[in-house]
Amino acid sequence: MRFRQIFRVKKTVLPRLTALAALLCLFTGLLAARVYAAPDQPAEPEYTEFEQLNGSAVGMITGAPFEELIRSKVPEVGSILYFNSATDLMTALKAGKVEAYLMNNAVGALQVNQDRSLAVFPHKLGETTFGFAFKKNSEERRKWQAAYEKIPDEEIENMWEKWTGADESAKTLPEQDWPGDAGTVKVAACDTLPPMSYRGADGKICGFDIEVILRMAKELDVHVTFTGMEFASIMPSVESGKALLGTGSIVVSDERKEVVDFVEYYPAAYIFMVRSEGMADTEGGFWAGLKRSFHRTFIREGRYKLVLSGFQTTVVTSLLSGLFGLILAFGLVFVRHRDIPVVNRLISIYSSLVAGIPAVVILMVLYYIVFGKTSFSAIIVAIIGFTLIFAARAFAVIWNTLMGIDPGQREAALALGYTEDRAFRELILPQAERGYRPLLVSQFVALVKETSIAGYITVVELTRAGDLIRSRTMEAFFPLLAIALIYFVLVWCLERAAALLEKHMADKREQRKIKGVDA
Amino acid sequence: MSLIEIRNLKKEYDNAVPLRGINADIEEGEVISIIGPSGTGKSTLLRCINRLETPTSGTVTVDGVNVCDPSADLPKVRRSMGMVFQSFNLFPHKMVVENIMVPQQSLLGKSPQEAYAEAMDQLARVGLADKARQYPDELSGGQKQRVAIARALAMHPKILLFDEPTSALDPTMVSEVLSAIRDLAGTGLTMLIVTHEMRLARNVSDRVFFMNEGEIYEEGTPEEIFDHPRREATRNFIFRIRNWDYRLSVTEQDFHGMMGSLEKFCKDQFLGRRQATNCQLAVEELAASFLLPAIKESGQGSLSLTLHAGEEGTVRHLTIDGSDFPEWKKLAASLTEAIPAEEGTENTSGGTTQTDEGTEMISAETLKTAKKKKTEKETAKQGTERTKPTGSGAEGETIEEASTAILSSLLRRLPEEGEGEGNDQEKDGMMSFRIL
Repeated sequence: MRFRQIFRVKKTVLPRLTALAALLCLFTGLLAARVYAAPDQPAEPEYTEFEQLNGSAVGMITGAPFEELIRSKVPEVGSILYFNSATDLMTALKAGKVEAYLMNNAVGALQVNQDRSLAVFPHKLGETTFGFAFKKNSEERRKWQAAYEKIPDEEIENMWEKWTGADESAKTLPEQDWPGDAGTVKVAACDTLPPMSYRGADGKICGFDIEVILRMAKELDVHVTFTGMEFASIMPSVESGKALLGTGSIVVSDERKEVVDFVEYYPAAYIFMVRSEGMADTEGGFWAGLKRSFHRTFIREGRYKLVLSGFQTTVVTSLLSGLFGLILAFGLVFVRHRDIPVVNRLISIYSSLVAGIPAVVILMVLYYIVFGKTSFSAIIVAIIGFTLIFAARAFAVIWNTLMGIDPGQREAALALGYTEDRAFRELILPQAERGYRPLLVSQFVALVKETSIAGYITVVELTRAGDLIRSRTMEAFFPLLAIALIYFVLVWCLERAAALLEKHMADKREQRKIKGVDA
Repeated sequence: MSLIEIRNLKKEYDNAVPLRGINADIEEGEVISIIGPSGTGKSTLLRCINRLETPTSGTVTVDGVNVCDPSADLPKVRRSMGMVFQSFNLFPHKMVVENIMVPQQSLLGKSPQEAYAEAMDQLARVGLADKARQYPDELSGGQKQRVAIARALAMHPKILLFDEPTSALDPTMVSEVLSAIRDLAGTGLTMLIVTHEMRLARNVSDRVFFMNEGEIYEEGTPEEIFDHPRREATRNFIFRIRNWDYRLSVTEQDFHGMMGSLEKFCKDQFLGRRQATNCQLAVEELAASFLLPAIKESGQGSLSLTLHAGEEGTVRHLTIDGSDFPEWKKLAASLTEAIPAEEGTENTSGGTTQTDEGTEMISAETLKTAKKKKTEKETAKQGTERTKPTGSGAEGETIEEASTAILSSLLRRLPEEGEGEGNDQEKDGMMSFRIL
């Protein structure tokens, strides 16, 4: 008995310990490879001629239509890989997944300032302008264009220097202290693209783009609210009308002009970012590096608050979706039990829709199409989406368990004088519980992890919070692994709680107490 | 008016007609057994009475309520009519006592204490008070079925329906359930029992319905049905349940299957332990030492074995039908040689005691000695193939001789009807024995 207990403990703990150890190894390995660089001396780029990049992988940001541009300069480029943010690109460059990545002059300048292991490739690939995206043929665009033209050039230039500079303390936005008589407009702003458009220390959107927009808004006497999101979400937001204009280092191109109209506000250049030669080693050894990473990721600018609020969002989204989903699932179970052909058909259509469409697509369809015109906040849409997703899975789990129950149980209850409904509610469903409870728990664990895709519809949950921090610290691995660890601990706690619940139920059964008879 | 009135009850499916028009009246306090071959609508009839099954047409009136009327208050009717299922259908997530309490609380509005007291009374009645806090999966089949009976009784029904209550049970557990049912008969409870237990049908019922092909083919008192069945199908059915058949041929030589079915038959017929052992031993020895070797040697034909058992084993006749066996003559001759005739016209050797009148039991000593000898011989000759039973000329005492000793101590050859001579037996291809 004792042996078996020990054995059982080992059986459950060992894989977890192994997983934890593997995670730690990964963590330390990556940290050891990581390079910390102080932003004082200029670095030499690893590559200086386009020919050197032939046969290499080159990265660019998702949705940037510049493949042709790259091929025109590097005709034999090995492959072109797409990434969601400048930080991902940087991570890829450092990890050697790409040898160079296409960036614009603004980000390039800032990244070089912040991370000496990066350098700007000496040749430009092309020149164009940055633009604010408006819906095609929008009257508003002309108004904003006129407002832009009223701003003196040197004012714009000052802003540029401020935001691409190294001095973080100067990077503040003016208050919206004008009357705003002409109303409020919504702006879809990428929140991971310093120096143009990103979340500052206080978690609010800031950057060069943002200041220019505020300056224009002042001319027009409108107030502006900014919604932070992934770059890939900006165009859909503008096209669906969720935002009047979109911004985030958008480089004007002919292809993009087919989809949206632009107010062009600053010259842009396409550049390659490459690694720099002679990168400095970690100063002060591994532990000091770890400490610095921890400090930069969690402590500086109070970033732990972002992690905490992301964690909270993840937990709230999971819990509410789990709760509503469960309620909906039981509702479906009762309705399905009535066995009305039309309703059965509807439920099965709903189930197969949810099963057949990736969760992230469901969320985006809900956010941009179904609730596109409503003012529901993204987190509510996320909760609705995950509720629908979880309900379908929970329903399937419960219903399948019910199907496995001996039909004799129903007959016995009916023969005693139960009605169909009461037999189902009081005898059949309760005895299925032992079967479906653990399955629901694992579905819920899956849901918790799945909420990480809510970032696609602008919800800043845990994963997204990690992305935001990475975009600020320009550090590739530490935030990623820290987030992984938080998820791991969260899920571990959940599974532990589920195991305790199961044990509690087993104990209760074993106590053999009769309700209403034993004290 | 009768408690249950069934009129022109029909149940039809596309591919089967389980009920072809049933008419019956059941009075309060009557105990009815419903017997008949499998698939003749017995269970369907029962399930139509409490409307677990919806009949195609006809009416069932229970205590003045037509349960086939769509507006009938079925839960109310069913509360006065308990049902015991073949597969028990206890609620597995509830303890035994809760299984009995919960319906009382939910449907009769009893308090937990009242329900508990009632449940414990009923459990005591079926002898399971000490199992109150067990879960159903901790009980044996027989215990589960008794709990199911207690659960039905706790609702104080007027009518109790039993749907093959012992069919899913291990043979060793049948009698505990039968005895619980027997205790209920005569308490004024109206009972309908679908069963294959003929002893139950015979001993407890006031009336027996014999169902055949969707009809109540014959009904009557147990004596009428079992002892003097009027119609052919009833007679065949009663004959079949009293007789065990097995056909041995070149292709069909499942010795263990044969012995298994014989064992079950002996149990079903409530043969005494000793009677059952003798029957099995006799068949085993006959088949192993004579019939199977003979079939193997001839390479064709078949032999039928029939065991006829009278009421609780009062008669035990074994008949070998060799009419499809080409070498029957030879086999019959060797059997005649090996097994003594009834009333000892040709007393053969082999250590039998005097078979005075042939009615008394053979001496257990003799049988034991014979068996022991054979076992010894077999151990000694392990691996060697048995010689033909007819080749008994071997020197010393052989296995065949030991077998013969066993058979001759178990069987008495019966004379053919009208004539007692071996020639007639050979002609008819039949040979009958009485098992002692």
